[in-house]
Parts: sequence; structure tokens; C-alpha cells
Amino acid sequence: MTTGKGCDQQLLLLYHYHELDAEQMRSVATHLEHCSACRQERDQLAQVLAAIPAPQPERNSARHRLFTEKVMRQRQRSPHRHMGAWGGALAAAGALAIYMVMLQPAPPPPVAPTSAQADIEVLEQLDMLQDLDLLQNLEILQELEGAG
Amino acid sequence: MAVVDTPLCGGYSLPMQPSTETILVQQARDGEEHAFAALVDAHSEKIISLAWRLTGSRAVAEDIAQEAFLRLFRSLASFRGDSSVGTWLYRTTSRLAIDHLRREKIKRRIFLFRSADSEQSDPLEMVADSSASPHELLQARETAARMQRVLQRLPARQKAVFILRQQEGLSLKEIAETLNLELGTVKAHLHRAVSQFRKEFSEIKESL
Repeated sequence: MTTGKGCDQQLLLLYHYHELDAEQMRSVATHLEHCSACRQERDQLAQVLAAIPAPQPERNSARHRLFTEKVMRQRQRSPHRHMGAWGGALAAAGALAIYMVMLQPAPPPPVAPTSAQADIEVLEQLDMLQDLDLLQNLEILQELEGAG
Repeated sequence: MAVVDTPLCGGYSLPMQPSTETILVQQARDGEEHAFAALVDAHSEKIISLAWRLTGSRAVAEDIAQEAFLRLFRSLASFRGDSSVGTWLYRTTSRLAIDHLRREKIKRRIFLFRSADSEQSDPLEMVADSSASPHELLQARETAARMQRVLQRLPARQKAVFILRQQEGLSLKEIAETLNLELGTVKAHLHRAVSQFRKEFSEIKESL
């Protein structure tokens, strides 16, 4: 909807979600009365949004109870797990750094950070590195080192 | 924790009375196990559901929800109650899920991983209409599957903004607070996400 004065796709989206103030809502509603292109656009928007699946996890009281029990068990081990995750994160970051050095034997340091370096920096900043992920990564690194 | 005196998130229905929650938080802070268990019990379904929608995997969703509850436990001593436990968990879970999605993306880029198939429900079940013909059902399945793929491929923040607005019913202001973003940024993410769906939908219509 880019034709015509007052036609604004983003405004229609906000109108759909009732995210405009009262005056703007009235203004868009008035515009819709006179603009068939916008009415068509509004209807299509509703159709598009209705076509997007909204999954609902099934209710399972046994699983729900198990989850609570698991959290309660982990809660008692919480500080160790926390330290472990940070230790693992550092190990993974180190291993990744070694791997990237192996991939790039040429010494000249780039002026701007490469995308791989940027990736590693982002990884270092992420504050939730799961142990399983780390193990998986390290195993693959070891395999790659062994292979090459 | 102060009694919650502000409206809760639009999409976060109150699982217990604020006064009950305040008491439970205080008891949990004092080391009473049953109190923390009650908090987990009251919020877990909603929090797992949110994480599942964001990540597309039940197992990952439970891991993220567990981490969110553990962080809540570790934060009890300093929990000021500026927001309700539910809102706090919503915020933490959303951020953890975004971190997870970004990490997965990076992993795929570095290690050329292919992510495991999503565990989302059969798209057909989500658009089930018993009065539809087999041909219409087939089309609905195809449309839902393609829209689902678009959703899964959205950048992490766009995806979170869209899901929190469209499926969880949070207002854009609440989303901005939850994700610690400017309101304008949230609007831009929502607009971009919906544009992706519009584009895909138009292509589907053209191919029919």
C-alpha cells in the first residue's frame, strides 16, 4: 500500500494491533472508509497473520511435575553449575580461537575484525552456554584437528 | 518483594494472587523449598510455552526455562519486585532464547551445522478445519509449513518481537521493556517480520 496520500503500511500494521493512540486510530479508520487499496491491504494483512501457525505445547501434568522436580534438584547444585558453565564457556572460546588460528595461518592482522572474529566475540559475550553445546563443539574441534 | 501494583503483561495472565506471590518469594528467600517449588509450578507451563515458541524445540525450551528459574533462584536475595515474578521470568526467558537462537546461527555458520528438524507440531494440526476438502487441507498444510519456515528463519530479535506481539499478546511497549529495546526499534522489527510473511504469502498465492 504505497499509493495515495495517507496510505501507510506500517500505520496499518499498528492499527491492526491497536497500537495507535485514539486519535490515530480514528484517523486510520476514517482513511479506510475512503481508501479501497488500504481496505484490501488490511484484509490481506489479517489473512497473512491468520495463516501463521501458533503452536501450543500440549499440557502434560506428569511432565510438568518432572520439570519442577528437575529445577528443584538443579537449584541445589546451582552455584557449581554456574561456575561450570563459565569454565566451559572460557574453554570453548579458547578452543575456537585456536581453531580459527589454524584456519588462518597467514600472520597479517586485519585492520577490521573478520566475521569469524566477530562471531567469536559474540560467543564470548553470550551468557548462557550450555554444557552440552560446549562438549559437542569441542568434540568437533578435536575431530577437525585430528583430520587436518 | 513489593506487591505488584502495575498491570501485568497483556500476554501474561496472573497465575496467582500478587499477595500470595509476595509471600512465596519471601519464603523462598528464607530457604523454604516448597515456596520456590510453588513458584516454579505456577509459572513453568507459560514459560516453557514461550521458550518453545521462540526456539521451536521442546527440549531446548525446557533447558531455557530451567535456566530462567535457576536465575530467579539466584536473584531472590536481590529481587526488588519492580516487576512480578512472571514478568521477570518472561524477560529472562526471552533474552535467553534470543541468545540461544543467535548462538545456533553462529554455530551453523562456523561449523556448517544443519539445525535439527524443528519439533513444532504438524502445521496441519494448527490450521485444522474439519470442513475443508483434501485439496484445501493440502494447501493449508503447505501454507502453514512455509509460514512456519519463514518464522524460524527470522533474525532472533525480529522473531522474538513478532512472537511476543502476535502469539503472546504483549503490547509493543511491554515488548520494548522485556527486550530492553527502544519502542521505535520494536516497531521496526515487527514491520520487517510481517513484511517477510507478506512476501511469502504473496508467493504462495501466486503459485496456487
